Amino acid sequence: MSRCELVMKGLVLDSVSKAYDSDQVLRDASLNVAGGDFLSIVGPSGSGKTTLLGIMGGLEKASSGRVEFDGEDLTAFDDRKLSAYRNRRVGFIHQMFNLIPFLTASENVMVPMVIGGKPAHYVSSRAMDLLDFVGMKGKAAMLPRQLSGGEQQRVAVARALSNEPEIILADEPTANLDEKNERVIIEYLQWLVQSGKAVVLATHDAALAQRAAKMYTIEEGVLNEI
Amino acid sequence: MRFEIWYLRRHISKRKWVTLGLLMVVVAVSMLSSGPMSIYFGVRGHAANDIALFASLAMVASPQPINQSEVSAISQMNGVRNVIPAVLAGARTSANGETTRNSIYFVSSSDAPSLFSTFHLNTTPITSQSGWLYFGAGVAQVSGIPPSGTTPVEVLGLGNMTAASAKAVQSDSDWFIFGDIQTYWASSSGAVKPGQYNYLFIVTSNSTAADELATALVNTHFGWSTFTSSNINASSAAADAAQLNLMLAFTSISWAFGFLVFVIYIERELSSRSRELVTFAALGASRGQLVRSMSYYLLLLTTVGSILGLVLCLGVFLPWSWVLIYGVTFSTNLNSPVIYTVLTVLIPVLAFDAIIVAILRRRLGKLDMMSFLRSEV
Repeated sequence: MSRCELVMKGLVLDSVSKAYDSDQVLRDASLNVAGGDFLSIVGPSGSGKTTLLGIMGGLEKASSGRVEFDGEDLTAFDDRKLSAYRNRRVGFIHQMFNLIPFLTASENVMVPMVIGGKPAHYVSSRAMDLLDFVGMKGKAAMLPRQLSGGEQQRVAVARALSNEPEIILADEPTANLDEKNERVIIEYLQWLVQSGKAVVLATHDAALAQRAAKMYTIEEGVLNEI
Repeated sequence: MRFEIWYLRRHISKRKWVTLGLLMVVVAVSMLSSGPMSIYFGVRGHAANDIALFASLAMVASPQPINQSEVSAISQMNGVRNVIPAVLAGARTSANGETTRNSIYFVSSSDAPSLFSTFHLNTTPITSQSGWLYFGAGVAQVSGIPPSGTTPVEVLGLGNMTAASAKAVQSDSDWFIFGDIQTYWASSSGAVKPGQYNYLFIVTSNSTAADELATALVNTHFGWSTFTSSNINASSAAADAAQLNLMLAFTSISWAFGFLVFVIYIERELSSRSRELVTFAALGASRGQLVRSMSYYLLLLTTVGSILGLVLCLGVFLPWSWVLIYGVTFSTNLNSPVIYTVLTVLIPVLAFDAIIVAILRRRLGKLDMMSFLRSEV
C-alpha cells in the first residue's frame, strides 16, 4: 500500500480537547468528515458545539489531540496556512449571517474570493452566478440591512460556497429564520451534500439535526455518535 | 485581485466623511509643522548669509528715514506707485512700537558691486553714477502691475521676481540708496499688501563712512538697536536657538495632536469594527492582510495629507517665490527651506506610520476569531 493511500481524506479529529483556563469545554472529541457526509451535532447552548466547529474550521486551536485535513496537521499550521485553510477548504454559515454591513450582497459574496487573490473578472462573475443560484441575483446591489433574514442567510450561503470549499460548517443556520426560509436553507445544504461537499450542522434543534445522515450529540464537551 | 486594495477602495467610499476629516487633520498638522520650520530654516539661511555678505556692515533696525521729496520722486514710477504707501505704512508701524522689521544696511561703494550682483542687479549704473539715489522695488507675486518703464536705470532687475522697478534720482549726498521692498506684493486690483521684510540699502563711499553714518543714525535716533559685525554672530546664534526651540515645540505639539487623533480613531475603529475584522479573518484573511488593509488606509491618508499640507504651506501660504527670494537674493541654498520643510513632515510621518502599524499589529494579534461563531440570537 502506498503512502498516499494511507492518508485519510477529509477532516479528522482525534481525541481533541479544549480548555479555557480551568474551564474544559471539549473532552476527547473524535470524528471524521469526508466529502458527501452530512453530519449534525446537536446539543444545548454551552455544550461545546460551537467550540468544536471553531476547531474544525481553523478558528480555534485545540488544547490537545490531533486535527488533520487531508493528512495535514492543522495544529502545526502557521497563521498564513491556517488562513488559507479557512479561505479555501472551509465555508461558514452562521445564524447571525455575519455579512459585512457596508458591503453589498455581491461584494459580501466576493470577499473570500478576493481574500484568496482570485482575478477580478472571475470574482464578479462567480459572485453573480452564486447569487443567481440562491435566488438573490436581483438584490446583488443591496446592503445587508436592506435584506430580510432569509435573504441575508442565502447571501451567506453563496459566500460560503464562493471558493468551492470541501467542508461547510453551519452553526445554527436556521435559528433566525422562518419555516419557509429554514426549508430553503436545508435544501441548499442537502444539495451541497449531494454535490460532494461535507456538511457539518451544529444545532440545538433535534428535529433539524435528524435531517443529517449522521448525528452526534454533545453535552458538557463530550461528543457521542448516535 | 488584492484584498487590501479592494477593501481600501470600499472602505474609503463608505467612509467618505471620516476619510475627509482625517485627511484634514493630517493636512493641518503638516502645515503647522512645515510652516514654522520652513520659516525657521529660511530665516536662518538668510541670517547666515547676512553675516557672510554684510560682515562689514552695521545693521540698524529702525523706521526708515525716507524723506517725502524722495518718495514723491519715486512715486512717479509705474508699478512702484502703489508700493510706496506700504513702505511708509511700514515705517509708521515700526515707529508706533509695533513689530515690523525695517532694516537698513550700509555698504561701501567698493562692496556694492558684489552685493548687488548677489541680487542679480545690473551694477553698471550703480557703480558709474555716483551721486545718484537709487530706489527700487522688487515685487513678488505680482499680477496686474506692468513691468517697469523704459529709462535705462529701470532695467535693474531682481532676479527671479516677476516684476521689478528701479529709479535713479539725483542725490545731494554721496550715497547710493537702493531700497529693496522685496516682500511687498500687489494683487490684481492694485492693492498693496505688506510683507514682513523691508530693507533699505545705503551705499556709502567707503566702509568708514558706513560706520560713521550708522553711528550718527544711532545717536540721532535714540533707542535704535544696533548690531555690528562683532556682535551680530552672538545675537543671531541666540535668536536661532530660541527660535528653533519654539518652532520645534510648536511642531511637536501639532504632531502630538495629530498622533492622538489617529490613535483615538484606530482604537475606535478596531472596537467598532472588530466584528467585521473577525469576519474577514474567519473567511480566510491572514493577520498580515488585515494589518495591511488597515495600514494602507492610514498610510494613504497620511501620505496624501502630508503632500497636500506641504503644497498648501509652501505653495499658498508661503509662496514659492518667498522661498526663491531667500535662495536667489541671499545666496541661500535655494533648496534648504524646502528640504528641511519636507523632512520636517516626512520624518514624523514615517515614524508615525510605523507606530500606527505596530499598534495595529498588536491589536489585531489579539483578535478573537471565535467571536465569529459566538454571537447568540
